[in-house]
Amino acid sequence: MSDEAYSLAMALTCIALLAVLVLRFAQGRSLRRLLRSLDEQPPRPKSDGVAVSDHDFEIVSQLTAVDLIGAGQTIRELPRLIESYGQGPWRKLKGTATVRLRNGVTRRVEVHWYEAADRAKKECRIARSLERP
Amino acid sequence: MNQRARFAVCIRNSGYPAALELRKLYEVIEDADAEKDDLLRIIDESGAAYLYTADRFVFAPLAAAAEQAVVEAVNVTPAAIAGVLPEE
Repeated sequence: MSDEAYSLAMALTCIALLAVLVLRFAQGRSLRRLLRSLDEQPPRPKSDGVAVSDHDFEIVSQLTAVDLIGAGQTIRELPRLIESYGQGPWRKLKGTATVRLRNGVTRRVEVHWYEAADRAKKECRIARSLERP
Repeated sequence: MNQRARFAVCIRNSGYPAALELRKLYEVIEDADAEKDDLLRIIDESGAAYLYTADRFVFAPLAAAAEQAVVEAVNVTPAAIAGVLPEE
């Protein structure tokens, strides 16, 4: 093989390697961007700003009779809250709302949830039904 | 009739990482109306009873001796412990 042909082959090999590297880098970036966008995807808000994707029910009315039932160290599960969502001025609140259960039934219930300053409501739970005697 | 306590193991805690711990045993409170809606009344990590969908749990029937031990472990207060501990 002549020197020229050898140089040309080497140059083409380098270009090919460079193209593979650029492609890999671009793929990595788009993958990272995709993962980041999934991470940043906000929870789907429903009527009263309560995310329902992982919850057992959907709040279909405004929350009323909202009241504070705990704050800071008075919340027994505070360490678990901090572990799950980070530090913050955590408060536990209660309110009344109409909810739609997974089976499609709607009920008037008392719900309890956590929130901290600028964060969305967390872990909305039904404390009791208000429809029973 | 003395009703036996019921316990269930949490198999899905998505959406409730602070209130429920995966694979942990929880006491189930009798609530026939809730169960008609496929909900279970569970004493969660807050120490209070809340309604969760039944598919988050599997019932874990315990042998009588194990059940008694768990109930006693839950109900034992520091004062009760102090009462049974030998004096130094």
